Amino acid sequence: MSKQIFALLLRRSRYTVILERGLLLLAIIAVYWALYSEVSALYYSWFSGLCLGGILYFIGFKGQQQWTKITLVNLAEHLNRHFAQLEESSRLLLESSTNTSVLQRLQRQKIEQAFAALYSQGLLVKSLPSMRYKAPALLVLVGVIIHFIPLENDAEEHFNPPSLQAITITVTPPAYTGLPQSKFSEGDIEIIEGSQVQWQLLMSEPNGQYSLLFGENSLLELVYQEQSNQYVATKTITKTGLYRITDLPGVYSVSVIKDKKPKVRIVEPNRSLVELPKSSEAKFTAKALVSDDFGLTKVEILASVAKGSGESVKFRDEVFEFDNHSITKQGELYSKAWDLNALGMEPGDEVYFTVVAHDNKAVEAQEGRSGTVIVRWLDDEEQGITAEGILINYVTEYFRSQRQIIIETEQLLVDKDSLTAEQFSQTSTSLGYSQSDLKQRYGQYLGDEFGESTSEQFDGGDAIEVEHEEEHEHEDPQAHGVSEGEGNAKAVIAQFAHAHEDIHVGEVSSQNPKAMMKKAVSIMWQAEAHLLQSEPELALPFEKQAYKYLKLAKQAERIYVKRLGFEPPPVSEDKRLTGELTDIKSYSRDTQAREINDSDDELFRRVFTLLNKLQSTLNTEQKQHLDKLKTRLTELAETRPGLIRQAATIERILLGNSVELTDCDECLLKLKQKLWQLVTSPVSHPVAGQQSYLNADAVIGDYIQRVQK
Amino acid sequence: MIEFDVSPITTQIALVLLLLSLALTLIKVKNRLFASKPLRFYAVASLNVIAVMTLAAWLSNLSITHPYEQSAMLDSEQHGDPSVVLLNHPNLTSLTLKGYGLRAAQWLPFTGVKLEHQPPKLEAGPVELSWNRQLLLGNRFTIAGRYQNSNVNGIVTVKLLDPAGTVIAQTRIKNHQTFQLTDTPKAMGNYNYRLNVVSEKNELLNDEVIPLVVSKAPAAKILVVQSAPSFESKHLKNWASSQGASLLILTTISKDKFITNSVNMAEDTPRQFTPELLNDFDLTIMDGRALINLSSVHQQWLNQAVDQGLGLYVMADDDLIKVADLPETELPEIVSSFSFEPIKGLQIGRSLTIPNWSGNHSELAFDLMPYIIDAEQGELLLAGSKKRQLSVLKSKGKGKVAVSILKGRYRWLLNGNLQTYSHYWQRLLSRMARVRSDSRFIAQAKNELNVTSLRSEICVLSDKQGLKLSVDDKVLNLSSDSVNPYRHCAFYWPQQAGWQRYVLSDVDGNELDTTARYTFSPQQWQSWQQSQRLSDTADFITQNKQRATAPAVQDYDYQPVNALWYWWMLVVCGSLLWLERKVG
Repeated sequence: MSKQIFALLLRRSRYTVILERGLLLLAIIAVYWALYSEVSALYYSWFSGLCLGGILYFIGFKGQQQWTKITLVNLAEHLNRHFAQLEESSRLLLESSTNTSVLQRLQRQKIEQAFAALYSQGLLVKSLPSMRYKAPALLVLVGVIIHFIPLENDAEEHFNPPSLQAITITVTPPAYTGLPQSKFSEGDIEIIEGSQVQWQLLMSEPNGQYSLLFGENSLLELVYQEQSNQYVATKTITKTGLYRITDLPGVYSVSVIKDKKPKVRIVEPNRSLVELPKSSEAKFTAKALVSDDFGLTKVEILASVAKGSGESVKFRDEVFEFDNHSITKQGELYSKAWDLNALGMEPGDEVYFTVVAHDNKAVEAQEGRSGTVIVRWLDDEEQGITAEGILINYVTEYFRSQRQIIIETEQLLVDKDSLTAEQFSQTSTSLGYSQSDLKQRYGQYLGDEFGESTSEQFDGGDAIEVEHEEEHEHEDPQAHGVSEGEGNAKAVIAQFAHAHEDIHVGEVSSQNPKAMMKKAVSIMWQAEAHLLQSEPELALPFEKQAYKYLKLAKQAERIYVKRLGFEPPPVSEDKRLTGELTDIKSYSRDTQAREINDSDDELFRRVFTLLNKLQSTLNTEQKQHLDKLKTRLTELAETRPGLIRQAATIERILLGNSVELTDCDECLLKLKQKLWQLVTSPVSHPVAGQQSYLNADAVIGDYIQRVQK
Repeated sequence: MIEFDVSPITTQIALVLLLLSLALTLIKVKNRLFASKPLRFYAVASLNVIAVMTLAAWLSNLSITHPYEQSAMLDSEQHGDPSVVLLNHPNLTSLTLKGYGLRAAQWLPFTGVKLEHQPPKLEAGPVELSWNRQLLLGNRFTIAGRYQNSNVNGIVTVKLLDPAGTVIAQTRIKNHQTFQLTDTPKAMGNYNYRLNVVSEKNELLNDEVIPLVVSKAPAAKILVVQSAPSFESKHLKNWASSQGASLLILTTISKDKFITNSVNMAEDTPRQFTPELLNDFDLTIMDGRALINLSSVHQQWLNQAVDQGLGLYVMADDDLIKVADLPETELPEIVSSFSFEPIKGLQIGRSLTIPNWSGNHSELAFDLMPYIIDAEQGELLLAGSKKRQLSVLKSKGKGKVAVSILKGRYRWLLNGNLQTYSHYWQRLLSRMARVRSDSRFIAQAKNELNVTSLRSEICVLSDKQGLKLSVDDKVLNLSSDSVNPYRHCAFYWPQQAGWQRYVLSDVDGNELDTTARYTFSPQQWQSWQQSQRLSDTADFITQNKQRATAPAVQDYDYQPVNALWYWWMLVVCGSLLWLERKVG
């Protein structure tokens, strides 16, 4: 019985140690866990884990030591210390009867009763060391405190600036366009002029006040709607521009597509001058092709009838309607049959008419006009218009037209990326029609001698024959003249085919303006063909070549004029500077030239160079250049909406005061590419000598002396 | 082979003590174990012997020797410094090379080594490229090269793309055919053109970068001396002054009466025709009449100024040619070597030519004087159509003299072609004007291919001392050329691909000149790099064959035994011996 009690007490003691150590371990782990979740440095600290492991091991090791110390003998001694009744003899209870003496057995019997009494009173159990709670409890308390009191300053992490979470833009085009409403989920939008735009913004902080800033100073306040938790604003937009949300980063663009004017082209008659013989019926048909991006309201013919001639000519203006109207792929085809007799005209009278179309644009319709067609009812006495006179009068005007075609083709190529395939094709086709018109007008004044084939070549079409002395010797003007010994055939040929007798009157120049014009017209065929096939990049070289020949024709004409000019006799050096010129004084003039910095081209070039310097922050001068460029691109965006994206990029650069944009990787590259496209060919600079040696080099000096001796 | 060193006296004493202790230990062990457990005795004795031998080896610095290998293999396509092979094989005599080989600078340490190489096939792509890396604004740049593809005999299209990504020039070529594409850069700065090679099926075969630096050189100072006002000088003045150049125009308006017109000039610059004035300008333009009307003193001054580097451009006129024609008169000495031969059948006003030079697209015809102009030891400055010599240039001292028979250059302007007009004068100025003595970078070679981790050379011209060259804020060591003391060069091994900015400054830190250069990565221009490496390797093999190689020297490499072996041996033996005692 005693031994059982002893065993029980032993177990109890040991379990107490285990529990105590276990609680301490748990408390330490709890504290570490609290620290781990609060102090981020512990996340990456293997050392902290190692320390924890060491502490836990130490506590376990000490516990194990304590465990081994709790033996029956030690327990007996502990009871002897606490209970005098045991008379220091509790160890006898552990001995077996056979190993003890009589005296020990008697003593054992005596204390067994006391031992059992003590146990039944529970005093033995009470005498065992109790479990220590204080340390674990304290550690747990520390862990709780650490958990609820922030150790790191994460106040900043909890503060988030307001941000735009979602944006919905509803665009309602003007009713007359017939276009449906559209929605956008991005800030950059492309709309029709006059569209009503509604913004709905979902913000992260719904308690703020926000506005949309258009341009520099036009504010549109956003109104908060509780039911949708969104900020809403509405505006009707007519101009391309930039906008942003106040207090938020980001710059957005609104590209406005303008309602274009109607395009009117007279397809019949295909000439601008129609001459009806006196004996004809004086009837003809006029057809016009009219197209518009949204719709037409009215198409009419404005005509002026001119009766009489000379001072007695009278003009009468009339407005006519077309007889028929049909819809084709290229647009609406209007036709009218004309009867000059019904107009009260007689042979010798003329009628000038032009087709005017009005579109359905709201508020103020836009008007498109065709070219003017002149219909002349010939009289017998009148002759056809001579080529040279008209040619000179119209040359300058048509030169501008060919140049305009080139400019518009180049612009089309530059804007290719920002146009849809259909828009690109339509523009190219319309340029082809313009080229065709021009070609026909030139051909008309050249009398269409060359026919209408593009493959026809011209003998007079060689670029320039600057000298023909290799073919003909001018020393003896009579070399090709009549030679009695050679016969009359050659005389006729020499006289009519190659008249060099009078060098002042004969072939006035090696350049034949008519040949140049014919060459130009033949090249226009190629340009027209490519334009009509929507290949403006292939047409452009031909357009430029045609323009070149037109200019050469003009120069050839100038040379002709120059030959007839006055050539003063050469000045004799003896007479020169001998007049009475006492009033002429020597003087000097000093000026400082102003470098041409104001042009668009110079601005584009400067900013391109600036962007290529790769420096992050901008100085004041650079910001001024960028601001100027942004303003200019915004102005140009009225006619070329694609440029507004680049203006938005510049605005972002200015707002961030840095060339590096974090929210758009490709924006800077696209801006540089666009600027490169806009910059024209450069003007060379007057530079000093460029050699790979210095004048001071003695070797060079020695070499020069030796070689030039 | 094993070697050890027992020469130190302390080692010898230690070894003796070890042997004594071994002997005593063995005796003791024998007494304890031999009779009862002989096997254990042998085991314990062995452990003791091993432990003692380990200690003895440790004390005597035991080392193992092996002979050096004389041949090695190098794979040039592996990244890293190939000269590491020489560290592992110091007496290398023979090298087997795999891959495309190395660049010339990388072969330098291998001088004398016999090389065996089977060159592989080149990858398809452009090779033998050359283009001007640095241009002045307004100049035209031309990229030339050859396309090679050992696998295909088809036709490819080579396209040149500007920095905006637009195809500006293209050409169709066959395999092994050369190509040439040109463009005029539009703005100053550093940027990259691109070269694309596209197959007939429109597949992109190669896409490479063509870096370009466009800069603006210091503006010239131009002196115009004319016998009468002219449109030529008027338009020249308008253009040059708007671009920042300084001009002084001295115009004779009457006998001993002149108009002096200066633009963009400092107030203290002389305005009279004096040697100081001539030395202050870079180019002097005169018409023929003005030249022949110069007094002998003025002509002498002009001669001396040209000898010192001034450029003189003479626009020939009737007076000059008349002087040349008449037997009783002679041309001024400065143009005495020029000759004018009339062309029969041509008259003034009826002779037209189209000036042509690289970069000119204009086909505008000009009037010219009907003469054939030539000069002794002269060179052609400007040619016209039908091989006419329009301007002829001749060196005189450090300067140049040119005579031109072209008339009315301003007609380009009147025809709206400012680009051609400005390019004409820029070309003429860069050829003729006085060479600046400013410190500057020497232009990069047209066919130079700088690749990361390979040696690059950069050179400057300067007559200053204490120069400092830095690249991206790292300072490079400049050393003077042995032949030309004004030429200084530095070597640099760029570690990153892309643009690097070089700055030349003087001893006080003032910036003298800046430039930028592009370094390619090993993945760019691969076919070109391979082609260059093959070429350099072939050159190296050829040069090596001409050199006699030294006879092979057998040599050895001594490697001490790692001390850890000793440590672990002692620990194991000690542990086993302790265990034996415990068990016993």
